Order: sequence, then structure tokens, then C-alpha cells
Amino acid sequence: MTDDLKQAEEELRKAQEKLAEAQKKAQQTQQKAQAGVKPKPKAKKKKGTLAIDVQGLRFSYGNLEILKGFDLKVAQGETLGFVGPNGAGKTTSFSVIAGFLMPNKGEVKVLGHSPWDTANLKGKLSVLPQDAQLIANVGIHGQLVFFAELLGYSGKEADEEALRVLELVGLADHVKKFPGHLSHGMAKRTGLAQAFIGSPDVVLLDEPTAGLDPFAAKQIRDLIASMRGERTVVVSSHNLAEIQDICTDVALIHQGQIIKHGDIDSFTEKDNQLRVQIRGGVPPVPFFQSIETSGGVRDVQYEPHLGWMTVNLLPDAPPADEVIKMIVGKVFELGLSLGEIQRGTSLEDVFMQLTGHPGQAGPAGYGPPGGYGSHGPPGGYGGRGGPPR
Amino acid sequence: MGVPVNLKDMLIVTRFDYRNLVRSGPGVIFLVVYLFVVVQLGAISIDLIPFGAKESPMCKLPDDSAPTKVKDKLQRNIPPFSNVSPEAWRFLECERPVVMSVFFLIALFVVPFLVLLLSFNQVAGYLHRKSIRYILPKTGRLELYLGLFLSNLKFFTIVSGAVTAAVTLGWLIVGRNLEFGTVLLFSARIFAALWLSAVPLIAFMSMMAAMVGKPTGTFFLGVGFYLAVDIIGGLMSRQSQYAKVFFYVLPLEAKYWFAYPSLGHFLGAAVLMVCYTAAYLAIGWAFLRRRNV
Repeated sequence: MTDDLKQAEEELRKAQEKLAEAQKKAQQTQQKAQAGVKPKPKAKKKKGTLAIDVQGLRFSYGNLEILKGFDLKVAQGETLGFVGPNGAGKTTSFSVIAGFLMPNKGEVKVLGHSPWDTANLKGKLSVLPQDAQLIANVGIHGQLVFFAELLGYSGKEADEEALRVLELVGLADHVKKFPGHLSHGMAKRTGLAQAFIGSPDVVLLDEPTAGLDPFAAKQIRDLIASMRGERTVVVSSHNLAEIQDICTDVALIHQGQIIKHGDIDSFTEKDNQLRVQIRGGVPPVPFFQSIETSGGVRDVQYEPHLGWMTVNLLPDAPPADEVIKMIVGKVFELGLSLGEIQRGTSLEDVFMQLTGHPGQAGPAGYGPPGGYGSHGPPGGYGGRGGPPR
Repeated sequence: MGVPVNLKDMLIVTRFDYRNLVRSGPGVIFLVVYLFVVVQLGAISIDLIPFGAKESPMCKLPDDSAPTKVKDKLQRNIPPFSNVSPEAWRFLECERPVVMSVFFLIALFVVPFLVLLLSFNQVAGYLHRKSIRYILPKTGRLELYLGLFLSNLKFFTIVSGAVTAAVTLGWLIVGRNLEFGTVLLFSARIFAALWLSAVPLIAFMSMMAAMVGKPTGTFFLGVGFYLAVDIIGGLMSRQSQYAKVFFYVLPLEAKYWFAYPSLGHFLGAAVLMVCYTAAYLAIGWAFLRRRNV
């Protein structure tokens, strides 16, 4: 009895710690907002001309068809994550949208203009290309001054703008360096610096944090986050957590076609799904049944190897906070403990499912469809073995 | 109707690429080879100039004398002397300091070829390294294309101008028996002829770069084509007068018009060089404007 009491106290203490952690995170978000780093808002999309409007885009290298006819509409002010497996066509899409490649078919408009119409897009579109090298024989400051001059800055202004963007990407101490003396990360940051010259309306960033150390990557993420709602930013990255963190919208490209595009909350089913990690043992089947029969719950799935329980909600479900409260109560009633609680699935999971990659598939778990399967406790686990779900 | 090119951007590109070019491999190689060849030629001609004064004794030798026979053989068979008509040669030999004339002809033969060493990298370097992707959202392809062409031209003009000025100074100091005005005017003519002969070849390499997109490919194709036209054209022109037309794919033949005494020939050659330049640039632009970069 004393042991049970101790265990309950321990659980209570842990729950309090989690609550405190959540409060701390909320406080940090508030502080960031005050410091100018915007919390992830509902995308403040401007009405009118689309920032990017792609229709029926096809592109081939010889006989190899890379882009197989996709449409993409990006509203002004959107921060779009552009994700997809290697070879899916992300960089090619970026290159076509930036006007580096001529599409075989289809139409691309950036702010209502062809990307090849430099006269009208000058200063409005900026690009971080993935594999471009800096100009070899001029120092990085000189190159940025050159870019600034092309964007209409004159003399001293261009010099100041170059210094500003170097400061922005953390290269203020390397002003006199030549590209040959830069590390990969520094060269990448110089590339980023040129993309931030002036105040472009549309910014295309192809893998902006690839090859950067964690500190620099965070700096760049914060920078991109600070543009939310003000500029249209399209970010391509393999770091899905990063995309989930900084983007308001996601487009998933696979085998040359966009297979899903939407705001990140709907993408990750933030309002339709809860994921709860249960520790300290495997809950009995009645536990799952009791949750499943609660109001607003469509079904429940369980992955015993990691302890994750996925609760899919019906559209008329009560607020997610209430469902979480109910689940937490039931977990504690069983004397089990909680790991993490997520609202919605991770972008990584969605990516794995939609691209057909064998992802985090583990042992089979509890849950319909397929009902109570052959593995696990009496009454059965089953159902969720891996993608596609 | 406005100018279809943003001149300000074009000049910004020129200024920037000039800085790049001065420190680049092709820029340095051109500088070294150019200085070596032209300064050597200049030094030899300065040494010899007292013996090659205006109205040289060569003009006054009888037609059946041995030196005249050697000279005739040279004029008939050995480029660049064989590229010049008897009329032009008489002018260069008898009315201008003959050593300067020899320098002029050899420089006219060699310098345009050296220009290929300088200019193969102008567009191809940006394409190959994809640095062009940093520039294109900020300015148009035409501004970049013409800006790079002009930066190469600027580099050649400065180097060539400085070297010609130095050699001229040497001629003036050493060739005291020469008229100051004659040397100066003839030097100006040599510089103008070399400059006008080089411009279309810079444009030619711009065109090759826009077509090929890689510096090494541009270099070998450009130089190979130049040599092929020169050698094959030379051989073919011995067989048939009509085959000489082949020469005119490149300004190899036309540049020797600069050696004629008449201003009409000079201006005709200048116009032709402008036409070559415009044609090469236009063809190159046709490739670059829709090229995937």
C-alpha cells in the first residue's frame, strides 16, 4: 500500500514537472515574440496576386522526366516547407520557379510575372540555390556589395547592406575572407546572406540549414521564422522537424508530383489526432476500449514497442485539451506513467506514409481496422504495423 | 522605345567581373603570356629599330638581289607576311619604319589568338560553377552576358594599351632617326588594329561559352576551331580562291586589311570586325537567353 502511494506520488510529481515544462515553453514562446521572433501564427496570407502560381509544370532532362505536371499555389505571406525524398524534384522545381530552368510544359508565375522577367521581379524574388558556388576571386563582402548594387543600392548603401546581411548570418567577423577560405557552412551562410539583401517579397531557400552547425542552423531558423507573415518564404529541407517548426504550410513532392499541400496543422492532423506515450507497462485492452468509446473519439491505435497510443478524433470531438485530460486521468488510474503528448502526428510520419517509405514501422499494435489481432495481450493487438496507415 | 538592356546593371557587372578577372587563372595566364610574347617582340623590335628606319634600304634593292628574293619568298609563303597584299607590304616596308611593321604583322598574327586564352572563361566560368544562379534573380541574362563581354574587353584594352605604350616609348627613345609623329601615329594604328582584331574573338569565345557552358570545353572547342579554320582555310585557299571564303568564318583574313595604307581599307576592316562581333554576340545570346543554367 505504501509502495502504491509512493508510486502515485512519484507520478504526480512527474505530471507536475511536465506541466511546469509546458508552462516554461509557453513563456519562452512569449519571450521570443517580444524579442521579435514571431511565434508560429496562423499564416497571415495576403489576398490578391499569388506569390507563386505553378500550373501543369513538366520538366525533363533528356528522356528523364523529373517534374510530371504539378500545380502549386503559394499565397503571399505563406511560409511553405517543400519536402520530398531525394530525387523527388525539389531542387528542379526551385530552379524552374527561380527562372534557372525552362519548363518543358506548364506555366510558372512569381508575383504574377514569369520568373524570366527579371526587370519586373528585380528585388522582389531572392533565391538560395543549393549547389551554386560563390565567385572565386572576389571577397565575400565584395560579392555582397556587387549583389546589393545590382538591386539598386549605391556605393555606401551597398556596403552597409552587405555588412548588415553578413551580420545577420553571423559572418561579421569574416568580412575580408575569400570563398576559398570559407568552410562549407560559412559558404552556405554567405549564400544565405545574399538571399536576404534588400527586402524581397518571395524568398526561395533550397536546404538553407544543410551543413550548418546546430547554432548556425538555429540562427537561420529564427531568421526565417522572423519573416513569417511578412514575406513569402519557401524552404526546402530534409529536416522535417525544422519544417514543422518554422513553416505554416507544407507541400510534399514525390516522384515529380505534389502529392499533398496544405497548412501544417491539417497536414499533421493537429486537430484530429492525439498521440500519447504511455510508460511503465502495457495498458490492458479495456483501457483502450474505454477511450475508444469516449465521446468524440473515432478510434485508438497502439504501438507497444514504443508505447505510443494514437487517438483519432471525430470532427465533433470536444476540445483536445479535454480529451488529453481524460486520457491522462485514465493512465494514472492504471498506475502507469506518461512519456510525451503530441497533438497531431509528426510531419515525419506523414512523410513516411505518403512516400511509401518503410518508416517507424514496428511490431503490430492495438487497434482497428483489423480489430484486435494475434499479438499482444488477450483480446489482441493488431492493426497498426506500419505505413500505409 | 527604351533601350532593351539595363546599362547601369551591365556596367556594374563589368566592374565586378573585371576585379574577378584580374585575379582569375585565365586573366593571369593571359597577362603572363601576353606580356612575354608582346614584350619580347617589342624588345627585339626596339633593338632593331635603328636598322629599320622609314624608307628602309630594302625598298631600294634591285628586284633580283638575294635579300629581295628572300623577302619575296617570305611574303609569298610565311604567315603573317603572306597574309598581306604587295600593296600593303610596300606601304609597311617603305613608308613606315619596317621593324614596326614587322612587329605589327606578327602581333596581328599572334595577339588575337592569345585573346582566346583570356576570354574562354567569361560566361562558362559562371555557368559551370553555377555562380550565375546568385546573379540572375538580381539582373537580366543580357546585362550579365554583355557585362562579362565588356569586362574582358576592358581587361584586354588596359593590358594591350599599356604594353603598346611601353613598346612605343622604347621605339621613340631608341629610334632617334625616326620621326616622332610617324612613330606615334603608326603605334596608334597598331593598337587600334590589334584592339579591333581582338574584339570579335572575345565575342566569339562568349558565343562558344554560351553554347558549351564549361570552361575547358569552351577553351578546347574555341581554340580548336580557330586553329582548324586557320590551317584548313590556309591549305584550302592554296587550292582554290573560292575556298578563301572559309577563312571568313573567323576574322582571320579580314584583320590584315588593317595593314593597307588607305583609310578606306582600315575603316572597312573596322566595320567588318564590328559585324563579326555583333554576329557572334547575337548567336551566343540566342543560346544563353533560353539556356538552362
